Amino acid sequence: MTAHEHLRRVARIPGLVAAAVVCAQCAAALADDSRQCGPRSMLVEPDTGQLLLVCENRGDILRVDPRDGTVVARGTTGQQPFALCANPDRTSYYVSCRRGQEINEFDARALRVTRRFPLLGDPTGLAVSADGTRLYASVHSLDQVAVLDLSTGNEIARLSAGNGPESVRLWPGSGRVYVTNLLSNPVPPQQACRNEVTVINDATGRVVERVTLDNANVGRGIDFATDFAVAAISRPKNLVPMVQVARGWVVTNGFAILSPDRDRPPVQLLIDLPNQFFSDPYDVAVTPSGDRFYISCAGADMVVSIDVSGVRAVLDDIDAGLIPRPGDHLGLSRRYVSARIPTGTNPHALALTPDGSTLYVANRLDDSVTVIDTAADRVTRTLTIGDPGPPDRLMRGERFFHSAARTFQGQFSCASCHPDNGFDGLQYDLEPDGLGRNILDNRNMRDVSGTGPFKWVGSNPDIGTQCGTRTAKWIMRTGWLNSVQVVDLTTYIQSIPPVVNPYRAPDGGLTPAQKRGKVLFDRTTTNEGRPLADGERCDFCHSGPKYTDAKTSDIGTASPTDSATEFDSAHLNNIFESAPFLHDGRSATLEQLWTDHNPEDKHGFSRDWTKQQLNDLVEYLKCL
Amino acid sequence: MSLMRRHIGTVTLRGKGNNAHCHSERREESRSLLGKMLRVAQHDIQRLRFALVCSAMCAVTALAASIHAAPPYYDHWETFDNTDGLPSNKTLCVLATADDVWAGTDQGLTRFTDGQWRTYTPDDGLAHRAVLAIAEDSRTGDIWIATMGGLSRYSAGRFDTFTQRTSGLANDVVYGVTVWRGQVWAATAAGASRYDVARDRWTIFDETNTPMHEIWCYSVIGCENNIYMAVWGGGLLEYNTGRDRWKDYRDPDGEMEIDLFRNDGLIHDVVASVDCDAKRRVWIATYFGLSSYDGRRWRNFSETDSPLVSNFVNYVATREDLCWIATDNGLNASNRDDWWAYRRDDATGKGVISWHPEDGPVERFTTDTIFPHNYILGVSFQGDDLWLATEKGLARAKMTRDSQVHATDTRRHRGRHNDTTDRTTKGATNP
Repeated sequence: MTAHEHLRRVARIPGLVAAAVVCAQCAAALADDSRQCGPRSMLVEPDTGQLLLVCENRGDILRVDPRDGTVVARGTTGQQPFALCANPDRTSYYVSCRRGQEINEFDARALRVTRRFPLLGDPTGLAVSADGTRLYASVHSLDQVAVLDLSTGNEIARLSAGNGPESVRLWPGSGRVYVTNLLSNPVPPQQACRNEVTVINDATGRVVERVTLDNANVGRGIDFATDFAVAAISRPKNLVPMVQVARGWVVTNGFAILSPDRDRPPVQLLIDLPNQFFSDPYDVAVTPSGDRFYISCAGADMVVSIDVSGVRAVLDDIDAGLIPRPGDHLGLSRRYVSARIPTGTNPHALALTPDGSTLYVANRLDDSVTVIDTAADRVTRTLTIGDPGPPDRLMRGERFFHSAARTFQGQFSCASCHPDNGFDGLQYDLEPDGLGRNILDNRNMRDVSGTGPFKWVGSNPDIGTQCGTRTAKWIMRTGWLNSVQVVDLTTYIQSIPPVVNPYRAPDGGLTPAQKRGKVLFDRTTTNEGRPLADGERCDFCHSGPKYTDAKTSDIGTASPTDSATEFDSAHLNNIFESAPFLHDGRSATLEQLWTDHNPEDKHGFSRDWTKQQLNDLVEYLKCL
Repeated sequence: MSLMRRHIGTVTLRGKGNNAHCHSERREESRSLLGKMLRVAQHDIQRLRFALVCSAMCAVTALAASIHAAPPYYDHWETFDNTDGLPSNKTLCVLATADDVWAGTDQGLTRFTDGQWRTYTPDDGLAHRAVLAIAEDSRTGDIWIATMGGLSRYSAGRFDTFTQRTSGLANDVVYGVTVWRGQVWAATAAGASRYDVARDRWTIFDETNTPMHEIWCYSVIGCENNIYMAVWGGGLLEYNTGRDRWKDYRDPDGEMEIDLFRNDGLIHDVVASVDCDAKRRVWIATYFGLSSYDGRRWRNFSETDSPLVSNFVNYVATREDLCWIATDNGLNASNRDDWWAYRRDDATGKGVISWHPEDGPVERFTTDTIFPHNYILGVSFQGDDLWLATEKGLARAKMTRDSQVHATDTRRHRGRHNDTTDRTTKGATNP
């Protein structure tokens, strides 16, 4: 579904006058969204020094003159291009298209599509094997890495990745491909998150290692020196009350050092300072000499320059037992962060020239490229890509969503806990009501328009209330937002489209199992023929276009640490990607909603279901 | 008895054809040799006489060997038990992959790699300590583990577990598992489950959508376009994936204790295991004998009319055209016509091995080493090695030179091509 289709669909929802007004505005803004490039991925062509930029919003790939930002060539990609990589001899480029569910192969010289590889799911990161025969593509929504034979274009394997695989990079000379994952692997309730870096043997095309990063989440970019890999990560402290924001300790930002040749577990270090945070680390670029690397901080509009010798000295101290908890140490960054360099808005992709003298930073939300002289770690110029024009309401809202500037000490942006415009899969102790009370599952922001009221207890009638002043006061802890800011933010949030649903047939039809599941979802009698009361039916509470009656109900899930007993009837659209489930995230899978957490049949009458019926219902729910 | 005689007669007839082909090759070799010798004889008649005598002796020896000598057999056995690092001696299954050996016990999953055993239990994420079957996804290298408490996937150090509560798995008691074209099939106590890994989609097959009148599935394998399922009490099920059709094979006489008509169909409905060989013949293990089906005809075997060591067949595993048959009383290997029987003599601890060719006398051998127990539950292959899961630990078997000296046609026994020159040399020099 395109953004325009999404807005049209949202506009059809009855009874949402305010939303319709807002959406009319975002529709107008999107009507000419072709002017917004939204550079998501970038490469430097080694022979010409020209830049290749993938424009996520507009769906094209640009060849840009790095001297003045002139677009010298343009190619058209599938919907929502995301990542870009080249084959070893640089004769072809590959672009993953998330919404298009395909990978485009481009002739490197002409920037023309030569082949299209359709793929089940939404491909994100890409890498070509060292011998140029295989393409690795992470599939975010299915937690997989697809392996394609480039001679035929056929998919030859689906590897199990971590949760929401993101970047895929070949470590040159190591024979290994590294895959970062956006979200933590599933963990039991009330336990700290565990992010995974999935390692593939390039010779066999099989996963050979899963590096666990304890307490880490939101894995993004990764790059390599000769003897270590460095991955951008965040370290959320979701199980302590959010009151800790005022104490500067909720989401910290940093990187993980993976040293496979040394018998050392991965080490996580922060780029933050005790009273200043550099949120949403995104991409990593290691200089060819390996003496420095850079991390783009998307929420802080900054690039951090890191001195590798300083990192090595810290690692030595860690090995010597001198630093017991380096991942939480906010004072260490002074030993290795050599510069913090302002960029444009929402810096994402980084690319170094082959000699390492120049770093390019693609700024996703102002269509610019910051050019940095790495010898001095200073900005030499900024290239404007095309003519982005002044930011409209939608763009202002998107910038607000992705900026940590208004959060106390810049600790986090909306996108820190809602990465990829979605969610981080964690549960939070949001209220200052005592440790461990009212733990709430973070909710998905995609396709959220028309799903009010908000908050798990349903106390916020609209997104403006949920994400406006209340958020600023209790979460950002910086004071009030003005009405324009609230409308900007609300406009953007309501415009966020759903992700591609791999469980849904392209033609919208249902499989036989999904049809059977729908019958169960809509049923009005039990298997024995007894009429079901309203509250015993699925489609009574989960009604309407977003499958919610906009009310709260007691479905028997309140725990002794909850203050409330009734919770919001969760909307079911795109529920396939929203695990874990229930207000406190206690249900890891959809099946467990009824096998483990519905002992009294308060969450629908389910005791008469067969296993076959439960499976059918789950199949149906996943396609919504 | 008359049935048995008829059966053996058929086998013999088929075997003669094979041997005729074999003998023809040998005559060609002899003619060639003779021609050379005649040319030499023009210069030395004495030498010719000597050569003719030698040639005749060799030919007679080779002919005798081709008829009577046994192929090489597994004569060197090692045992691995809890003193070697296994979590339990009760090994329930074994899977040898290219790099590792995996074994399921009643106390966990164990992996033999780099000469060491490493055990995984529910503390590591395994669904249950009792591991009943193991399968490898050849595309990804992931190991799928059937347990008494669900299905687990081991992938590069991480366990992912699927149970009837947390996933679409039909039942937590998973007896069998196989990976076929990227789909994981699990035989459970309440029907079969198919998990399409790429699409993250589960399907249940039970009495509602198959001819499965019993739902106690014990084993499942993929063969070409078919899935075969061993159903305990329900016979054999065949699922044609292309046509999306099911077919059931049942014991036609329906008798529990006797087999009324020989080769009329599946020997018994209590089916424990199934596998498919290189000739696409399906081998079916039942607790009342062994069946083999080539798509047209059935051949059934019991301990009274064949060298089968026991009617209580736990498991079958094929390699090329040979089926290995694990029973409660030893091990067999057969291509339908020729048979090997391996048993442990509990009194001496030695191996008693017999070769039952279709067209010759039985040969018997004794080995100093053998598997640790005659109750065998699993068979797997790794290179030339054979691995067994038994009641008292795992066994690894090798063929030493001592056994190979008997070789005249190793392909028939080992089910794969070997070095012909080496085989011929050994046969000629060690008659």
